[in-house]
Amino acid sequence: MQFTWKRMLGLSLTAVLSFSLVACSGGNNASPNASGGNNTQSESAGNNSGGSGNTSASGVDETGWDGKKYVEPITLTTVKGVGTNYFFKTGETMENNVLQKYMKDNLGIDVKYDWVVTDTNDAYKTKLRLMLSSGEKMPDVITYRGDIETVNMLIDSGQFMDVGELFDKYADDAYKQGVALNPDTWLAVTRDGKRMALPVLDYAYNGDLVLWLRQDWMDKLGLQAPKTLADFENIMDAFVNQDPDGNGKKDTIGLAAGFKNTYLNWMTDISWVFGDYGTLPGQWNKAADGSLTYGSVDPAAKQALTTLKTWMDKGYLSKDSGVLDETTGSELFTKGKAGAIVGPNWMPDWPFSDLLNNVPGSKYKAYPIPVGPDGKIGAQSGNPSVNGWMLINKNAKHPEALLRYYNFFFENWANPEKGGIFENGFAEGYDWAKLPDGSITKDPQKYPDLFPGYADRTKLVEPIYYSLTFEGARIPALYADTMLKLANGGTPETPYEVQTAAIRKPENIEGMKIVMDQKDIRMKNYFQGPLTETMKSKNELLNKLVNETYSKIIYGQTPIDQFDKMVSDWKKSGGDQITKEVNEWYQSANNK
Amino acid sequence: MYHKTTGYRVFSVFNYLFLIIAGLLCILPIIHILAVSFSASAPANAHLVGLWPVGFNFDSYTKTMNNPNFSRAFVISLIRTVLGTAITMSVITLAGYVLSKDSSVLKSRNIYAWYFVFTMLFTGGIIPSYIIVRNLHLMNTIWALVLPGAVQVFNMILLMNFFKATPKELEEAALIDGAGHFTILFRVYLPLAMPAVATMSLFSIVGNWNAWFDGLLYINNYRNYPLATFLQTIIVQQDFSKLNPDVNELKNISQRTVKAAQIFIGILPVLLVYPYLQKYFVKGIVLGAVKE
Repeated sequence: MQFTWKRMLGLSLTAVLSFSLVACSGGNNASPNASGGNNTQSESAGNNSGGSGNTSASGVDETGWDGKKYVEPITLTTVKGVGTNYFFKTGETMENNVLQKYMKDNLGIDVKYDWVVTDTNDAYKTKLRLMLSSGEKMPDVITYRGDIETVNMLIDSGQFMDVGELFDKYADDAYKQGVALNPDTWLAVTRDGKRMALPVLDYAYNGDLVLWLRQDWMDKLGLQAPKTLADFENIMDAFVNQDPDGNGKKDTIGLAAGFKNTYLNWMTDISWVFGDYGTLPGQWNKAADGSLTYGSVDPAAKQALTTLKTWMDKGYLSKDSGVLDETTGSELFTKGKAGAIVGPNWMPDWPFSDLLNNVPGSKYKAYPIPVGPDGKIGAQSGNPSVNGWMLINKNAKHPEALLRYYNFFFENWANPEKGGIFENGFAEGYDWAKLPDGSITKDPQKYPDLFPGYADRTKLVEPIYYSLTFEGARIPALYADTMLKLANGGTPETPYEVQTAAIRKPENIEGMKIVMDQKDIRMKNYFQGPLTETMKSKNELLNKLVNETYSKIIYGQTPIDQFDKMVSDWKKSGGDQITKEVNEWYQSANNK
Repeated sequence: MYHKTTGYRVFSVFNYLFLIIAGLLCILPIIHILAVSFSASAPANAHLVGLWPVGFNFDSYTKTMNNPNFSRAFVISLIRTVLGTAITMSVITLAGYVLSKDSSVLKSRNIYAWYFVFTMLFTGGIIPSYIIVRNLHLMNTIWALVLPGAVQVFNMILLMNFFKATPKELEEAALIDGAGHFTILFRVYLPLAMPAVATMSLFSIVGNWNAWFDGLLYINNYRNYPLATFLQTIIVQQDFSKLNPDVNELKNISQRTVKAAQIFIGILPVLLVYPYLQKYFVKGIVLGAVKE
């Protein structure tokens, strides 16, 4: 009885509301909003398999969703780590800003923050772990980007729900396709067949590596593109000995590398040298027999270390490489000391802009990774298309709201339509503005009047980063496809393509084409599971053993044969056990 | 004539050399930071700046001053330091005075003393402290920053010993003149203990000014961080393994000069306060007031 009454009341309320909405949309909202709204409506009518099945305008399903928004606005609690790319207009905060208001008005989802920290130095992680260990109540949604151990801790706390069903029922097609792109997407968060966290998708291939060379040096010394490792050694030799910067001093080196923390870096990478001998350090590769082996103790790594030692002896590598990390290592390149660096396609924007400032007239160009002596080649597979996880509290009143929130961005933001609401950016006067001649600008420094309320005009305020899902939504394949199209001389058509063409540098576009050309050399890390029991206790020790022995070999402090002793030590001190556990995990994960 | 010997001269030379080197070690990093803060960003990011600015400009200071979060953090830190020091000093002075009496005056004195010392030896750790602060509803208030660390037991014991070492005759004389405990404390003991009080105030000022971890734990909104926490969150390298940067993000990374400016402004207050307090602890301690 009561139930039907409630329902009747709800329906009539909805009817009244939707009438008033129709009535208002003409006068109250700006016209682009209205047209954007229409787009969503027509799309979601096809997509929304989980809806009540009625037409979206009047039907309200059991969660209070009418196909476009929550009739009664709902609240979603969460916690937030504010990234270094978050800038606010004067007076706006994480709790009160243009995106927050937009989502509340248009989707009926009001996001509330239990706490907000600046997410550097692992502050967000620290607070999350503190919450876990002090037994504090978790918010409705937790989004996490970073180490998988913290995600595992959150899952193991038992406070979060199996999101598999929700995903199947509510996820948008673009989201589903993006997840399907990588068959292993769910592996890391699957427990007993249950999917415990939703993946945050990001652009695929964006972390893959290419070889960047100082093109002005190449031209000056009359060098050709390196095809093999031997070619590359000749180039480095010329960089070291033929005074490419013309200052009369022997003060240049070949490759900017930094392996203080790891031999598998996201920039200033050295792992590709190992790849040229058939293995990658620091990850689990597939052996010929189909089992997983740890790359750092693979016999091929010994050959790579021998090569690196000769490079160090001949001065191709900086003597400091062992105490440099990714950022400090790249400084060798940006101050004009090194002629080569291995890193991702986006380096022209950072840190290469510093190179151009420090060394006037310098040029750089992307090249494919050179092939090893036996024709082998391999490089890390960069970041997977998953770049974070979202967990939903078991007790959340509206667990599906997060998916609706994410869907909205997939439909309207990820690849916006021409004439759509987000064609030029999130909000006018924030991340874009229209010049009197009708063209679009994103330069708050040059047009202060068009971007009111900025505290710091050197930084574009991009409200999209305030979103619960980090960057609204990103379609994994879109970035690489667009860059490839532009590299092949295609004309940019969609707003996304136009924007990409406008902001990406030619060297960047070329670099991305090389990434796509050589995508077969990617070597995947086959172990995607939670840390195994032995890993938890032994990883730190084993990593230290490997890194120390590697450095000593490269610096010539111990003979190369020390490698074999390290391998046997590694196996004895838990490595064998870890290998067993990793393979067990791999078997069980693949049988599912 | 002892200072004319060869041995003494050799010692002096080494002594001065050692002190000069130690002094340089302290001052050079500050000069470097200062130089970076006045430099153009590209050379600063490539570590090309030493002790002299490259591409001199004031941009980083203008930017820092225009950053509302920085100025708010600065003010919060000032309030925290003043409040924290005032609370700490009053608490440890009162406790130190009481505990400086022996058991005949204060019954069970040793139990009270041990009560304090116990907390020095054993602490609950982060999580219990966090739970206490949370359950006392101190979260997100300035009290969460100043109260948990208010009782500096070590400083309190120093002060207690200072009071103990003060000749009893002074107290007796005051008692005979009809003074109560508060008068004795404020009119007799404290004026004599000025060097100790100044030193402890300085400890407390520096401690409060530099503390960052409690800000991170107990303040749930980064906009209300004290300065040290604010600085701690910006003076770090970006971790790219976490994100797929896009172009606009990448343009914002190179901020080494701004960070340097913020660090420098951050250490300025302590640099300024130090000389004023320093004169107290170079002075002699207790001047003779009693003839035996």
